[in-house]
Amino acid sequence: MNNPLPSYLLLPTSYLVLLKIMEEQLVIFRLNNEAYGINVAQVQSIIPLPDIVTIPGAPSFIEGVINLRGAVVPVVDLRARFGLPVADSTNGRKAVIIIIELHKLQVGLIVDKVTEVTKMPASAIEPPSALLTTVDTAYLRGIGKFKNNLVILLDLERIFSDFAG
Amino acid sequence: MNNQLTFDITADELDIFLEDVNKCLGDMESGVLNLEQQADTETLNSIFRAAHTLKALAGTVGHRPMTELTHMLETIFDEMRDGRMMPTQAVADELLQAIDLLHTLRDEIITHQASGVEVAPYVDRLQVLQTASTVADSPELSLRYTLTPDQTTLCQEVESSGQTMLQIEIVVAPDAFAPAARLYQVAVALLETGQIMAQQPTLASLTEADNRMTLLLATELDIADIETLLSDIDDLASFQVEPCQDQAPSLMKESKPSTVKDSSFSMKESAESPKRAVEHHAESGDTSVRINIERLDKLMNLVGELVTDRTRLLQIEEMLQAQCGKGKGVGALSQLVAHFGQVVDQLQEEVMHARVLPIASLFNKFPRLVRDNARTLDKQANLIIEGESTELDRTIIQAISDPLIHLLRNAVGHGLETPSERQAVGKPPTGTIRLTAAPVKGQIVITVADDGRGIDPTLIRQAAFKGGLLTEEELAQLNNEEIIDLIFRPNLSTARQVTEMSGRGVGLDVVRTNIERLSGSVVVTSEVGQGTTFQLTLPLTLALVRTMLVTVCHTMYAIPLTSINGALYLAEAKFITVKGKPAIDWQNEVLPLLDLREVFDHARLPAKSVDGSKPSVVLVSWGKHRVGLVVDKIIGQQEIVVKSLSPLIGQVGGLSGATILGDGGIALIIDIAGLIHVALQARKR
Repeated sequence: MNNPLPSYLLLPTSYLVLLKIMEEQLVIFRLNNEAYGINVAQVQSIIPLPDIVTIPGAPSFIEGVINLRGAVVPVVDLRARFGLPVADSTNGRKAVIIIIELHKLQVGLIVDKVTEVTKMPASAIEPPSALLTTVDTAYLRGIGKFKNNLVILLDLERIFSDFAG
Repeated sequence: MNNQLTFDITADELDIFLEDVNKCLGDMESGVLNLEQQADTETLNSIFRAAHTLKALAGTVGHRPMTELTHMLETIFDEMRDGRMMPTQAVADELLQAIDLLHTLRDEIITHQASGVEVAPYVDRLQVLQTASTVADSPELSLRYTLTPDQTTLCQEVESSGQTMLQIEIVVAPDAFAPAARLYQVAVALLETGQIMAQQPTLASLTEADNRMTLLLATELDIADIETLLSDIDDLASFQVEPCQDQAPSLMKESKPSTVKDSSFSMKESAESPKRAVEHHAESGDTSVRINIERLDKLMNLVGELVTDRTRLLQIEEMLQAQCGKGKGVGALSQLVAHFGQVVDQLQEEVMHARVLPIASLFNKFPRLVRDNARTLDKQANLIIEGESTELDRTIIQAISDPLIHLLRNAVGHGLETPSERQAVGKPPTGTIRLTAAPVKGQIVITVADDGRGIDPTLIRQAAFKGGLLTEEELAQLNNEEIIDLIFRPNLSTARQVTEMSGRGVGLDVVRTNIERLSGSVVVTSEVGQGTTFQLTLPLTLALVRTMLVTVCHTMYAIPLTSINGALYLAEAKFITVKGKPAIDWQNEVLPLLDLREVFDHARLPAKSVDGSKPSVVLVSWGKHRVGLVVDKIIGQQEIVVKSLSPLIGQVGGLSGATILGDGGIALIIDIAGLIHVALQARKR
């Protein structure tokens, strides 16, 4: 097979691909005193918690819907999805919503706070282990070490594939 | 061998191309079906044009088999148009099959996969049909050739010299080994008897495919002599020899159509010339453009945002007026807001109009469906369509296609009796199915009515009991109307044998679900021996809905106005209890009460607090059900843009979507059908 690309182009392209594999840009947020990370490419925006309209009869992890610039977008309580203790609402929870886009569907994730956006080398990511996290490992891509802290990397596809179809 | 096909068309062009192709196919199909009833010039012209356009379309993308087949169809339609071929049922069957084949060929263009069908056998069969039926009739085809002035003069000379002019028509048998050679033989034989004045086709232009010939012969022999001569030639399917002295003048005039006297010609000409004018007009006055549906949807969404903004602007303007009166430019703002409102209204109306289609685009498919269905079941059915120009949102038209097909199939299959059964009870052997559409009070009502055997309530009762659907006690409480309504229950249909006997098949529950998903309703009425009528009520559009806003448990809900009959304060209602359930007496009617404050209660909602509002009852109806809904407060009427709840949330009982309100808040749209279903089931327990 002849490669249609001239050879001088091959080197930089593969170099870029390699970089992408080696390094990942993450949005790090906190939930229940644990740090979680999702790929920045999946994040559309981060907004302060707006009024949420509860939907009677919806699945329990659906907190409700919000008006996101004229669109009705569902928001998911990750605590409920992961089976974590529900936040004490009297505690004046200063939550924010991370809007992600999955298969052209917008979803809001309620998280306690977003701490930073950072790059993480692939070498720092290890396969998930049930010992290190309270979350079901089926929903995880791996666990990263970052500034001496553990960051749980979420597999959003998996989290929503159960019911997005 | 690679099955991959390539066509000379880009993906961008495909949509529009397919739309054109589908239109041609649709025109042809409905035209052919029409032909069976009456073969008028207009129908023939339209199917000929459809075939012609399709041939050109197939040609542009380089689909050879499609071109071949459409060419054959075009030929046949042309023959029919000229009265040389009659559209018998056998011909129609063959044509419809060919049209089906064209659908398959069209799909090849989409999938790029060879379907493996051969057009040659179809083309051959059509060819045979064409030959066969042209033999059978139409002697006047021999007038098809025109005479040059020289030949005309010759004719006159011949006549004056005492010779006779004979018009001869020869058709070679379809199975002849070499038809053209036979024609040649005929021409040579006739040459010896006299002078051939005109010939079609001429010997020079004779090709392998020719199997017929017409001649004008000047001879001293008489008809019988010529006939004997021709009968000696093998392989002739038929020949016809006629004197044609008095036709010579008309032949001469034929080259100048303006003075045509011959009736058959004048008819053809007059029928065609206005058509041409129409076509020409259509070309020059082409003022429409095609638009992608997706783009139209986006446009509709944007208009929806504007409608929302208008409401919001009005609120702000009212607020400002309350605060600062008319001064400080508020007056100017008010004027602007009013004007803005008018423009948005008009814009909305225009965009809505762009989304509607006459329902004919759907109804046109049905004559074929009913015809085929009736034929396979050996029944006779006549489908009468009324109100096909009724306009409906295209998404709704798409969505009601399957339910209507189902109802029509049922009408033919289970509703109508066989011809002999019908005659036995004194009905005409052909059953009638009436499909109508009409706008009624801002909604569209579609009915499917047959004059068949009707639904026998006693059989339904038996089926419901045997199927374990209801107990004998429960059944005793239902009147016949309610019993017939049971045919929409899924579990009843599983008792297939019985329901078929009672006149209905399976799957009506699916019909009802699909219609209700569109915020529509289905009602059935039936009279044993008289027939069954299904009535579908549908909204004009799904995009914008007029609603009444109410609050329940601090959440805003929108109830579609079309299902609301009235409203009153809970305190004013006359309470009664029926079988231990709360109900109210409203205008001498007992309506069960459904407290939305309980139905829509939710653990996450803040605890119920008294906000000083007076609870109200909204009276709603769905199909035959009428219910009073208890709400915390009625806010008012508003037109809303329907947005679906995310697939992530899925189907939620009693809700059909959500909308953004003028103040940026969200209201949940109540699905009355779903709500009543949920409530009824809860009540039964």
